[in-house]
Amino acid sequence: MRAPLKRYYLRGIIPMLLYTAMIIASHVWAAPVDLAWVKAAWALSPLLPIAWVFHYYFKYLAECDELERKIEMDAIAISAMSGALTGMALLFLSDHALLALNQRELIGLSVGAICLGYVVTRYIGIWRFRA
Amino acid sequence: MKSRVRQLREQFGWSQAELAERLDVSRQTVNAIETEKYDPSIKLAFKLAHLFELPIETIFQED
Repeated sequence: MRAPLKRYYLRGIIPMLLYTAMIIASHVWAAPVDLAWVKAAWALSPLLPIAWVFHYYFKYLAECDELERKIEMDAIAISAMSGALTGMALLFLSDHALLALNQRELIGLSVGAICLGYVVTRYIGIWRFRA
Repeated sequence: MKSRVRQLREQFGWSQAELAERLDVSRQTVNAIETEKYDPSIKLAFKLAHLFELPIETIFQED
């Protein structure tokens, strides 16, 4: 494993542990104060460590070499497209009453498609250019 | 694009890992250039040309 990727994984440990703790906390305990903005901040708090990981991801993109960057950019582009296609497909099926999904399920499936698209495309890229 | 990188690297007696280190790229990148799966950027092509002390057009040729 090259140094930039290793650094990215190591840097990501603390934010990911924090994310896990915050997602559990925000689901187990209610917001400490019964105000709408406090509730919203409490619900969105797990996004902070994810944004922290994204910050490290951008640093990784700046540090990796051109082929590694190409693999990452291809994975990001294809995952964004697969997320958009999945979301639109589910919306069209819902519009034609062929599928009954609530908003949470619809967004969850689209985000899932983005994540799955990224992982699959990235590993295909690594496999395609394997040494 | 046709590449003579493998031939030149072997002439210099370097391993893929050594060349990768000199170019500050991964061994995967060197291998992909040698096997013509990936065309390097101008910047990397210039680095290769500088390293092998040859003009770019003698290292890379159009198909």
